[in-house]
Amino acid sequence: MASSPLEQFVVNPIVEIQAGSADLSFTNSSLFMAITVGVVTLLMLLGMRHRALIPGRLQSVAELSYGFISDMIRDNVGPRGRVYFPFVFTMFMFLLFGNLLGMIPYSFTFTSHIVVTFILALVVFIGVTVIGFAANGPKFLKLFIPEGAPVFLLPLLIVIEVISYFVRPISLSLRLFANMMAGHTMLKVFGGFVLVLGAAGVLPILITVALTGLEVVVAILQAYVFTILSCLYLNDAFHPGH
Amino acid sequence: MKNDQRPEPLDELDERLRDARQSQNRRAGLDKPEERLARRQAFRLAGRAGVEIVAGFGFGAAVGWLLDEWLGTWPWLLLLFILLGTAAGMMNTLRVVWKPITGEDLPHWARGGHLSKLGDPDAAREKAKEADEGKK
Repeated sequence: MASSPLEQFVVNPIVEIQAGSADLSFTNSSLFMAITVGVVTLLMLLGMRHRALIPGRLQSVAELSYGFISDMIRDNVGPRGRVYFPFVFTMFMFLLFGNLLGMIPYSFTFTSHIVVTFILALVVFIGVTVIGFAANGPKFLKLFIPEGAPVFLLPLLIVIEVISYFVRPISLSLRLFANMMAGHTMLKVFGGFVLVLGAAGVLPILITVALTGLEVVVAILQAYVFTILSCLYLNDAFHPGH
Repeated sequence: MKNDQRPEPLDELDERLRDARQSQNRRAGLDKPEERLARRQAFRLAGRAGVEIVAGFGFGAAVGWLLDEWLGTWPWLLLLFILLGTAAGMMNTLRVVWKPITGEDLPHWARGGHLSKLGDPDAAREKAKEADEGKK
């Protein structure tokens, strides 16, 4: 009968690799990450193959996504952010296609695992902190001192500011992971209803269709939110205490 | 000659269709595009803001727990850091929702050391523009 709605999130090793005590198996999660990287690479390479003045369909996709991220960095970080374009662009395309490929039946959504999203958020967090200190030196710590606050409140406020800084990678990764996992679970649950209800199963089918549409929107929106927040954090690294 | 004029029944149908659509939209509460936009934005804000509090609470609890294990002060630091973490989460939430809801800039006490610009792409954009112009 109907399997558990959470079964889709199980990570299975495809090729088992043991390095000492570490489990480095190539899993279905790794497989879909590799596929995502492959699809994005192919899209960009094939899209830009002709380098036509008047772009074809594929070239338009490649150019539009380039322009989208390029504008996002210019608007949110400023000219100094240009250096980080390759990283931001790669991250956005990886998440976007990871989310979207996860919508294909029988595929695996690696962004529905908090390990994956948290490590990505951690890379952003550590990167932004390092860049912040490199660009401002110790002045970067001004980020934690609220302006114009009464002196007797400062100790408390600084602690809260520091905590709210460290919470950023957690909320960043939690948002993406929770959205993807909740959506896919919901799809599976309503899919399960179809079998159980028999003839009345038409209703859950309709809901599933609507949910699938919603999930595609969520997949795109969450990739966007993750990327734009990373850009805003990066902006903080360049302009603390502005 | 007959073909010059649009047949009247279709004109009427157009009108009826328009009326029907309008009344349907009104019933669904979708009559004004700006209302629809506001609602969509509210949903997005709600989604983002909720996560902030949960993350703040979770982070505070984890830090408190670890410090307690380390210093043997169970359960006092756990309690303290849950409060602080939730406060930080609320602070982040406030930063996300303040401007879209009130239409005003963040009050200075919530601004932090410019962590405030988070969650407010418009402010960040303006700031980036100012910085650009300053350089030129």
